[in-house]
Parts: sequence; structure tokens; C-alpha cells
Amino acid sequence: MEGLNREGQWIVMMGFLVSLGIFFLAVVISQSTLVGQTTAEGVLEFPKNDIQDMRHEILVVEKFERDRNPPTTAMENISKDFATIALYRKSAEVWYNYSVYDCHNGKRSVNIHYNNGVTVYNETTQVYYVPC
Amino acid sequence: MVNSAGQLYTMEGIAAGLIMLITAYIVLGSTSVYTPGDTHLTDMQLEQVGSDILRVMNTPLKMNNTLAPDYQSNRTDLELLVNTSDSERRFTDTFLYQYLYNSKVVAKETTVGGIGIQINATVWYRRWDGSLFNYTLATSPSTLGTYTGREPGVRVTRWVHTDFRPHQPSSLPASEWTAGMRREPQEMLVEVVMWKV
Repeated sequence: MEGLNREGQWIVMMGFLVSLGIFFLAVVISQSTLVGQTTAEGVLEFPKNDIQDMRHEILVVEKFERDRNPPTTAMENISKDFATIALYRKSAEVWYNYSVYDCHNGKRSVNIHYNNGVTVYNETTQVYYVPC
Repeated sequence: MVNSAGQLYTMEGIAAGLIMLITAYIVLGSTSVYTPGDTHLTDMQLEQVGSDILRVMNTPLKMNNTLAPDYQSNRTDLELLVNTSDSERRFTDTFLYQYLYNSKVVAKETTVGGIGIQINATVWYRRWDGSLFNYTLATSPSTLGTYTGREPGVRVTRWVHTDFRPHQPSSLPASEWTAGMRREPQEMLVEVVMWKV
């Protein structure tokens, strides 16, 4: 080493640094396709529309049962529809339970459960209405 | 002892070799093959559009209408559709012509007269005995093209609440309609399969 001109050391060192920087960028780029695909598949797999739809529809049934005069047992009957059809056509377990409708209370709770093996969704919601 | 003057050249040679090896490794490792199994990623947009259309169709026509507080006035397009005798034509009209063909997704890749998306809609319901049954709600007109079998289909669904047993669909035998369907408020599942031609 001593025989060499020391002036060139900067050039060699900067060469190494630049090449290391390029390696880091290359690693980032090579990972990006994989990350993009994983993210997109995660979005696809999450049953956002199914959960929102089911939730909306259960609350529709709740309102339907409450508004009916004379009172019906719509929520109990229809829970079998949800359970059966969701299991066979959506590969999901859907069930709900609820407090008994009493028009003096002014509120009522509904527990919604969803499980398709990958995503589990549980919700307890309060439905408010004008007490009689 | 060899001459020590060549050490820097040796180190540089080894470093250059390492750099080349790592470069080759990264380049080979970063090539991703777009296999046909990955094409479902591009179907996400179609699935979202179909889901949105069904959601719009299942929105109550008069929400919070104080003049018509009865539940009947809060029916949705989709609920009305399964309760009419002309449901096949009306579903196709609404789903395909009113919404899908006007959406940006379709407008970009198709031309007038050569619409490339077909649908097949079925309704699933629970019978008296607890078993599942389905009938065809609508299929897209055959003038739109034929099924090539190459493109994967996407499936979108929507729950529909109906007050009573639906109007007898044309694709359902009268015996099944009389004996199988329940005469009470129930939930049905509208299932639409969409595919590109």
C-alpha cells in the first residue's frame, strides 16, 4: 500500500459508497412488487362489502320488526335465513342476537357476529327510537 | 513474503467480484412473473363496481320520509324488482344499461355496440323445509357476445329484504313457488356473476 499514490483512495471509497447506495435502492425496488401484490390481495380478501351489507340488512330487519303492528318475530325468523344462506353462498357464519323489543325503553341492543374463517367481525350496536 | 504493493488491487478485485455477484443476485431475484393466477387483482375494480351498483339499487327510495312513515314507502329498487312480474327485463335494464354501461370502468375499454361485460343474476332463498333454492333473476342479452371461457368471473352479492313472498319469477315453476317459497317476511341473496367477454 505504501508504494501507491494515496490520492486515489477517495475515488475508491466513493465508488464503494455509491455502489452500496445503489444496492439499497435495488433491494427496495425488488421488494416493491411483492409488497404491492400482498397489499392488493389483503384488500381483496377483506370482506368489506359483505360486512357492511349484512350489517345494514340486519338493522333493516330490526326496524321492520319494530314498525310492524301487530308485532312480529321477524328477527327470529330471518336469523335462519342469514345463517343458512351466508353459510352456503358466502362461506361465512353470520348470526345475531338482540334484546327484546319494549316500546317503553326507547332503545334496544343488537349484537352482530360475522366469521368467514379469515375475518372475524363483532359488533354491539344500540338502536334508539322514540319511546311510546 | 510476496510484494505487498499488489494488496490494494487484490482487494479491489475481490470487492468488484462481490459487487457483481450481489448485482446478479438482486436482478435475478427481482424478476416477478405475472402468472394467470394473479389476474384476479385486476378484477378488483369490476367487483367493486358491481358491488356499488347493487348497493345503489338497494338504497331505499324514500329515506326518512315523514309523510310516508310506513315501511312500504321505504322499499328499494332491488326489493321492488324481485316483487314484479317483469323482473328479468327490469333488472337487466337497471343493472346493465342504467348503471354499469355508464360507469367509467366500462366506458374506457369498450365501444358502442361492443359491450364486453356480461352478467348472470340469481336469487337464493330459504324454503319452507329449511333447504336452499335459487332461481335465475336475469341474464344479459346474448347479443352482447358469447362466453369465451378465458376471462375469470367475479361474484357480487346483496342481501334483499322482502315483505312477502316475491312475485312468481318466470324461471321458477309454479309448484315450487306455491309449495317451496315462504309466505312471510324473509331475506334473500341476490348474486350477480360478472365476466368480461
